[in-house]
Parts: sequence; structure tokens; C-alpha cells
Amino acid sequence: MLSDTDGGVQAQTDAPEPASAGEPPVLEAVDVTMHFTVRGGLGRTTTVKALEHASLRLRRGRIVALVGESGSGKTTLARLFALMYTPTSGEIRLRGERVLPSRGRAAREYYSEVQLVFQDPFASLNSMHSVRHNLRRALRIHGRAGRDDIEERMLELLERVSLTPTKDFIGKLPHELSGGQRQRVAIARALAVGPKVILGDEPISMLDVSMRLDILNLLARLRDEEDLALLYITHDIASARYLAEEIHVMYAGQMVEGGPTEEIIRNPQHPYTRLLLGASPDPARTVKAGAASVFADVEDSGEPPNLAAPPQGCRFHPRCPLATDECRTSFPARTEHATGQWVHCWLYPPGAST
Amino acid sequence: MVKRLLAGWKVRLGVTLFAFFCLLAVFGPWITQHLLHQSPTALDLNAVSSPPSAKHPLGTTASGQDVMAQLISGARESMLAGLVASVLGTSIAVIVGVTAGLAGGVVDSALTGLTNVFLTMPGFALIFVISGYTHGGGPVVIGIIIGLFGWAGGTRALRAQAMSLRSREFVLAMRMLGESRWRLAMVEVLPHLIGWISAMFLGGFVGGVLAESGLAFLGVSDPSTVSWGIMISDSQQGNALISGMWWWFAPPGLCIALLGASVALINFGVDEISNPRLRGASRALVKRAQEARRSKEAAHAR
Amino acid sequence: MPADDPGTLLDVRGLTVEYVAQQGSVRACDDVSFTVRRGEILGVAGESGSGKSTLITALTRLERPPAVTTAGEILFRPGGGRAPVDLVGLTERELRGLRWRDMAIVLQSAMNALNPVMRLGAQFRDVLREHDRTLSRQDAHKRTEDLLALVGLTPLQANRYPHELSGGTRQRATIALALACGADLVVMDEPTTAVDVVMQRQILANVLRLRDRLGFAVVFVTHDLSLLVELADRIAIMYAGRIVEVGSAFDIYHHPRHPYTEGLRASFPPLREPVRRLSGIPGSPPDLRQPPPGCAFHPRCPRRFEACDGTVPELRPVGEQSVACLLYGAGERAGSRGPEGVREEADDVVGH
Repeated sequence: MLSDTDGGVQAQTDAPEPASAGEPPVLEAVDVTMHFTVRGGLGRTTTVKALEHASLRLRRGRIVALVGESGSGKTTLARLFALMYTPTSGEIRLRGERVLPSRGRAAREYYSEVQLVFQDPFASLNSMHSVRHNLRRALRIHGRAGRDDIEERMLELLERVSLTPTKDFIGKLPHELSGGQRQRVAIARALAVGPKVILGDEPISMLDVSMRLDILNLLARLRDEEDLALLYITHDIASARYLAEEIHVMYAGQMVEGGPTEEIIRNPQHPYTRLLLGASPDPARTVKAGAASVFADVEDSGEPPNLAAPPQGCRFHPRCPLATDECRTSFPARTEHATGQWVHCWLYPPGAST
Repeated sequence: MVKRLLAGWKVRLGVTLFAFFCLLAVFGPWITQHLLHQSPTALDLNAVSSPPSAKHPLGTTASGQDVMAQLISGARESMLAGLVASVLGTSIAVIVGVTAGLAGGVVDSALTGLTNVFLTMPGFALIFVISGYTHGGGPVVIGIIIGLFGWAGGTRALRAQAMSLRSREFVLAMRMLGESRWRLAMVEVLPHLIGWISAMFLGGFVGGVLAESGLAFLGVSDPSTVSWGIMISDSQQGNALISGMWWWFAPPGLCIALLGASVALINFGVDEISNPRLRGASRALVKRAQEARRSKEAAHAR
Repeated sequence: MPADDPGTLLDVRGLTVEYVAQQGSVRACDDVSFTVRRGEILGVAGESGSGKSTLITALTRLERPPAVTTAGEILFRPGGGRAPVDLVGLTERELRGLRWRDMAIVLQSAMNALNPVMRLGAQFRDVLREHDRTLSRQDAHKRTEDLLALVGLTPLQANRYPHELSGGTRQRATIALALACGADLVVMDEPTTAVDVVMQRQILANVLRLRDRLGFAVVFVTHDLSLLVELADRIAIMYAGRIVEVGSAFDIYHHPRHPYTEGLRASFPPLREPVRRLSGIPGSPPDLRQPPPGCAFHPRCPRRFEACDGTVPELRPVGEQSVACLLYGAGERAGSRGPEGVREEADDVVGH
């Protein structure tokens, strides 16, 4: 977990955060399930079961990472938070009150509190409009600036995302900016409305490697300065570890494990989390052990299932070397540890453990 | 962007031709009256059905009318019809297509249904029948009728483009800022459709000119005016082909063809901009680079 | 000379590839030189604009206008005692003789390069029989099964159409296809970027095992340096069309010499080491149409000094590595200040 206020080089130890203490969540998903009906040829329909019983709480001043591969349901959850769909069951709650996709004023009110930063910096800015247009619209729609001070406010926003000299950047078109710069503009645009929550859907995965850390550092700084609640979605668990206080792991639409970052990294409980950690590139591990051995074990660990016909019970069971009959029939109950870590796996006794 | 557009020879040629015809349309009657001192309708009984000469650079018709004067003043009639047709047709196509593509749901279904009805209607036959009622009525009326029945063709393409733009991330992002639907359509989406719309406008223009001439050929026209289509129709009735009076029908036909070609050339140029692989100029440059390399190697070998 | 050494498979010297345009040429690859030994995995790491993808197309001579190879040699030493050839001078016909048999390529979206209307097995048989006309149907069939088994695919999957298989399976199939004719050199351009982390690990484990068994060399191009440290024997770092550092994976990881390599290495947050604040590299990769004078990295370099904007550094050996940086060698201009002289701190680089 990274704290910007400490500055400099410092190892951070993570104090466990019990789920019940502290402020109430500003945005949460409560037991959300999402099934998409897809119309195939000849009138046949298939149901893609993209998300099952997902719950997630976002609190001010905290960054929560959602880690999973493609098809894990993480983007679906982000879009549900962004009110792009209505959940098949379950609720999205803003400050405890249920919210649904809407139009007009109700939508605007929601979006003045919750903003989404997209994955592709090349697609999320209209190629025909300048930086100024994007920021101006954001400020005007939500009444955050009047005619006299709007230019000043726009330059302030660029200052906050470190796009300096601000006067140079404000008039630029997207194709004149690098990927990292565009993503900063997208973040500035999101900040312009004064949100409480920012949802980042893989915000750095399409950027050049040398620019990624700066964006992560920026997000950490915004968490501290603006007391934002941040959801960081990624397939790269190493960046999740760097940025977030909490990591939640998803597989094939199911949330399988979660808890304080260092606990998950040091002590992964779910077999899938272990597989994910083992598969992620980590030069430090290899250079000591020798290349071949690192790769030896994972050569045939299968692939994620088809969500139109997912396996019964725990969806990871076809690939799990420790699967039992119970795993094949029912989705495991939740096991909670005192450290704040929780997991859905029949390897562990359900309920809270002492 | 306009500079890049004008860089290629195809676009320059197309624009020049098109501009030439536009000027002809605007200044036509003035030119015939004051520069050539001819009238499209005046009869020169001394020179009936005569081939091109000094007095009549493009010869005369069977009734002794100067072909050149007719050609020049006819430009205005034909192109006016084309202009009205394409302005009306493109406007309807944009309104229906973009609304359908962006709105989705019931609105989309209803507008698509409407488009399909107009698509399957035998457009030309209907135009023919209705124009028959109005007895021609001049180029503007003809243009209106053509536009009213011809808008459906481009609408589907615009709808498809609008639909694909609707799910693009920058549109989603602006929607999530709370942007109103009107502004989303006009400010965010429409600028991306300008290329399509202008291509449609130019194509509709030529289509209108062709439709007008087709109608005139079939006899639907205002007898008091002269247009290219009317010239061709008259020449057919005057047995120009059999009598060998090529100067009567060839010039108007050629003008229509050149107008169509100019629009096609402009569209090629726009295509080349959007798809760099079509650029012919770069092949010449590549050859140059390869030659330079070969000569460098030869020098190195020595 | 490396080309005479039978252990050297590929010797690239001074390769320069330019994109020709009306406004002036862009040098996507500038004076690139490196060698690949038989059975070695050479990783090429770089970001956008580094020239790594252009290098791949130039190596396999697949570049198309407006890309033109304007200088350099690619000396390839095929197996079987044949004489080394310069790929740059070959005709299309001669190249066809080499492709697939001696040199194969796996591209980023290779999974989309499979023919959608042919079953997988049929595509293998097609390739095999194209390159060996004497192969009978049964032999081609058997060989197809063997190849698929090499990458962990079953005969059942051979009977399917590409769209019926997952992305990871298709990528594995294309790797098997690349190895179908026993190539000595396999060139891979970001072959695992489009697949998930777990599948990536499977594919690379597979490639390593096959390399050990079949002995081919690999040129592996990617932006993921952390992956190369685990996978490659040697790593070359590219920036703005030039190679700035070459060394063994161990050396590159433990003592990177070029400031760009240091910055790149520090851009990957650790998974097991304690977390501390990292900060990539300020600024962005240069616009190759107007490259900075001297060393292309100097505007972003935390250790730049006076001579850096005047001289383009050459790749020179430093210990076991090769580095193109003025910190490790005298500049070409007389009287320029080398690293032994006063080193100025770089100005704050602002505006990312």
C-alpha cells in the first residue's frame, strides 16, 4: 500500500482494516448478479452469466483493487457501478440508498459524485475536440464554474494532474498528446465534477510502461488530497499491490478472495489467487531460482470457462488440483479471518475463524 | 486537413471541374447574353441543324437554336435541380439516420421502418408519376420531388455510423458527464459524420442531375426552360443520332458525365486521406528511396 | 567475425529502416546491430516508438511501403552447413525458400492470422505439404498431430475451426505452426500480449521446453521487460530506433547501465519485495519525425550532462554488456566533457 504523504522511500506495513469499523461506504455493490441475454442466430438466446453475487464496498480515502483476468466480471462490475446496466439481482447503493440507471437530472446528480476513467486513452477523448472543450463541458454541466472563472478553474485542474505548463496543454487536441497525457486529461475531466468516487477500469494497461507509475502515483495523491474513494481494476496484481489498500480477486464472475493487500500477497488462500501470483512476472524470484523451474509447473493449468455455460458450484473447480465433490456442486461459503481477509473456498471452514 | 485534401491531383482536378460547372451555373445566362450574344431560345433560321461553326461554336439544333447557349444556360437548370435534390435528401437522411442510430429502441425501429418503406418504393416511377401531375414545374420542384423520394439510400449508412459512434468510449464518457442528448448528437457525434455527409451531398447532387435529365428524357419537363436533360430529350425527338447531329446530344451528355467524374474524383481524394495505404504518391517515394539505397550500396562496394 | 562463427545464427549489422513520407523520412530503426546465437533467446524490450516492431518486419523482410530498409545487413546462417546469406539483398523468391523452413514468425495477433474457413489440422497439413512436396497425406497428418501435441493440443482440437477455439489455444496453435518446418530462428512480436497472465505463462513455459528440445533460437520482442528477465538469455533495450543496451538477463536486471534501462526496470512494481515509492520515467517517448539532437533519451535522462545533446552515443562494450551512453565512453567531439568531468544535474523535467 502506498501513501503519498510519507514521500521518499519507505516500506509500508498494512494495518488490518476490519470491515465493520470506520465510516460507512460511499458506494457499494450488495450481492449483485448480472446475466446478459444474447440473441444468437435463428432466434436462439444464450444467457451469459457474467457476475454472480458480488459485493464490494468503496470508502473515502481508500483504494480498492479488483484483480482478475478477462471474463472475470471486473469490467461488468465497474459498469454496474457506472449505472450502465441494471443488475439482474442485487443493488448498487450510493450512501446507503439504492440507485438505478436513469436519465436527466437524476443521472447528472449521480455522475457528479461517481466518475469512470476508461482503459483506452485513445478512445476516451473525442479526437475532434481540445482539452479545453472536455474540461469546460464537465465544469459547466455541473455548475462548477461561472463564465468569469472557468478558464482559471480549467488551468487549476490541469495543474492538479501535473500537466504543466498548463497554458500549453489546454488548447491541445488528443492526437498531440501521449497516452499518459491523455489519461491525465481524462482524470482531470473526471475531477472537474468534484466526485467522491473514481472508478478506474484498467487505467494504465494501455500506456507505455515508463508512464504507468506516474499515473498510479497521481491516483494515490488524489486519494490523499481529495479524500477520494477509488476502485482500481486491473489484471496485473503487482500494480494492485503497489497502489491499493485492499485487493479483491475475481474469477469467472465470482468473487473468490479479498482483504488487506499484504495479506493477500503474502498469504494467498484461494488456489486461483496462488495461480495468479505464480504466473505474474517477478524477476526477483527468477534470477535466484533459475528460469526453467519457474515455468515448469504451470504448463497446463487450463483456461477460464465459457460464461454461457459455466461450471456448477465453484467455477474454478475444473482447473483446481484440490477440487472436491462439494466444490463441484455448490459455491463455497465465505470464510473470514481476523486479519480482515476473506475467501470462498471449501478448503477452509466457513464462517469467521478465530 | 483541407490542405492535405488538395495535395493530390485527383482532388484538385475534381474540385476544378466542379467549380467550373458551379460558375457556369451561376453566371450562365449572363455569359450567354453578354459574352456570346446568343440566346438559348432564339431561332436562327439561317443555320438550322448546322454543325459547329464560327458563329455557333457548338452548332445548332433542328430548330436553329444555338447549342452552346443552351448548354451554358442549361447548366443552371440541371444543377439547380441537383442542388435542391441533394440538400433536401441529405437533410432528411441526416435527421432520420442519426436520430435512429443514436436513439435506439422504439424510435429506431419506427424510423428504420420508415426508411425501409421509402427504400422499397419504386422511387423513379413515383417521381415520374408525380412530376407528371405538376407538369415538370421547373428545376426546383423536380429537385424537391427527387429529394423526397431519394433520401432513403444514404440513411442506412448514416444510421450504422451513428450506432457505432454511440458506443465509442468518448461518447460514453461525455454521457457520464451528464451531457444532454442533443449536445451529444450535435457536438460529439455529428462532427465525425461530416465526411460521410459531404460525400452523400456530392453524390446526391450528381444523382439529382442525372434524375432530372432522366425525367426530361422521358418527357417530364417544363417546356419553357432548357436543361441538359431537355437538350438530350429534344435531340432524341429530333432524330439527332440518325442524322449525325452529334453536337446536339454529345455536349450535354459529356457535361453530365464530367460532373459525375468530378464528384467521384473528390471522393477518391477523401478516401485516400482516410486510408493512407491508397496514397499513390508514397509508392513513388519508396521507389526513390530504394534507388538511393542501391546507389549507396554500389558506391560502398567500390 | 561473428558471421564466421558457426555458433552464430543471425548477425545484424547497421540495419536502418526508414518510413518514407512527403514531409521527410522517419528513421524507425537506426543503425541497429546485434547477434543471435543458435538456440539462444534474445529479448528485445522497448516502448512505443522504439522501433521494435519495425525491427521484426525488417528482420523477416516483411516490410511494406512506406517502410524501406535503407542500410545494413542481416547475415543469416541457416543450418545444414549452408553459406551465410544477407537477407537484405535477397529476392522475394529466395526469401520464400527460407521462410518457414529456416525462419518463422509469430505475430501479436497471430491468433487472428489463422484461416477462418479451414479447420486447424487442415491448415497445418497445408503448410507442411507446401514446404515439402514429397510429404504424403498420412505423413502430413501424423506430423500435424505431433506438432499439436508439442504445444499441448489434442487431435480433437485439430478438427475444429479457429473461431471455435479460445484465444490462448489459437496462439499456441500458431506457435506450433511456426515450428512446423523445423525453423532455426523464430521471431516473435509480442506473442502473449493479447492473452491473460496465466495463459501467457503456459505459452512461454511451452516455448522454453520446445527450445530445449528442438534447439531453435528466438528473437522475442515485447514491452514487458520483467517478462524478458525471466525468459530471455540476453536482452537488448531499444529506444527511439536505436539499441541502447545489450546484456545477459542477469546483468540487465542486476546492474543496468543505461539510464533508460534503469528507469525501465524501476517501472515495474515488485511482487514480493517490500513496496516503496517508484516513479517511472518523466516525459514521453520522442516524436521520431523530430528527434532530439544527440542522444534521443537526453530530455528525459536524470543523469544527462552537457555533451548529451550534441553527440549520438555509439554502442560500446562495458564489462559483459554493451551500452550506448556517453557516461561510459568519451564523446566523439574533442574536448567534450565526459563522465569524469563535472556532471550537471538534469533540470526538472516537467510535463509528462
